[in-house]
Amino acid sequence: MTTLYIFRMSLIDRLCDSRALRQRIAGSRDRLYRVALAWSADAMVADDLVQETLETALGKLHQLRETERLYAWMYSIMNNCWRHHLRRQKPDCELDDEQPAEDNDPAQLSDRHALVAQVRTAIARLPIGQREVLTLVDLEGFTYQEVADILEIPIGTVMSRLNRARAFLQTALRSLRPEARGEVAQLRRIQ
Amino acid sequence: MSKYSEFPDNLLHAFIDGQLPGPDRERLLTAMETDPALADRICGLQRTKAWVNLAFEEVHATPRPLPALRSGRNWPRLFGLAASLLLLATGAVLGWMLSPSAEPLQSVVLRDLEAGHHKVLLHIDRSDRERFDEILDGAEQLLKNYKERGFEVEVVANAGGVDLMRADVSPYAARVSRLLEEHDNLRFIACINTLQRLKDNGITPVMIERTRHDTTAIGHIIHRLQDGWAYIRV
Repeated sequence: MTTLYIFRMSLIDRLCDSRALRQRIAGSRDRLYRVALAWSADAMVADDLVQETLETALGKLHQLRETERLYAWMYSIMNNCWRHHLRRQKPDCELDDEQPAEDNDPAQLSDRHALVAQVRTAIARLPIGQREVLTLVDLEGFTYQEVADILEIPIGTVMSRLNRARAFLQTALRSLRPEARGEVAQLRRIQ
Repeated sequence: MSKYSEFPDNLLHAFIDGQLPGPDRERLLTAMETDPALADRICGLQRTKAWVNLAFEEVHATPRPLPALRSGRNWPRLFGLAASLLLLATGAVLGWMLSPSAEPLQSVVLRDLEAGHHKVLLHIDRSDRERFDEILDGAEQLLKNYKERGFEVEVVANAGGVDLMRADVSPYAARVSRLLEEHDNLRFIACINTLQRLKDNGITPVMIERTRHDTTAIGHIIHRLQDGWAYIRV
């Protein structure tokens, strides 16, 4: 089939810029996956989420106006994919339910692997909206304003969700605190 | 907790996230030195943030090939077909080429080139040093950025544009020769009709070695468009 294009030469700059962006997108799989895993708590879902995000980003690359916002733009895409997934899987799901999910109090754990598991479990218990904000701030280092733009929520909501998420994690993970494990007491004895 | 109200939680979060403005940061740091409870609150938040990072720092995605791009270009293809048919039917090709750029299609060529349709036709029809610069820079830039097998660039010239490829008048004869030497996937094509007109006017153009001049520019352009090449007019 015939295709016809007419352009000005300035397009060549865009073509080459687009090539560089494409390479950056290709190299972002790991960082997207970390957040996707934190959001979904499911390796397969996270993997699909990332793949869908990459596909959409590559297909819509020409729509990106500010290239310095590449990663924020990609997380916006991933957020849309994630919402779509949630609507399919859990149509009645509240994004910012005040109450974290129920879970048994985990036993005191000391080794790194167990600690990682416990923290991930606690994060997975957070309401989705809080989980999204927390991971974008803590794992990706986005500013509150960037998170607000990515998730399309007011910045005040970003801050309140972050506040609640960390308050919950502090409580849920209190057994990991040094004083809870007797480490402070030991130090005091040494003194 | 005497200073709790002075330093609400939101402010402490902003502090550990590096988003607290300088004056507030200084004030908080000073207060921490004399307020163990405040220091403890910040320490607790910082620890929580560190745990979140720790929980995901060794996470790696399973390597997968990049997704294939969806071409999604039904309407542009239809548009292209219709436009080509119109061209062929009316024969008003040159007039049509002088029309303004089809801006919405820029995104299509971006996607197409990224999707692997790596063939670009650059067209010049004026003898203008600035445009010569532009077209040679553009060709070099494309060749530098797209090194995939199968990527091709052609520069086609008619009217004054053929001066670029004339050894006797081109300001860039050496550069054109060098580009042809360095890139097998680059071709320069001068319009045979234009060269004939020069001869008819008593000028015998000397063409740069390895440039082609065995077809008309317009015929070549139509041929390439039918093959799906991206067309960029300088």
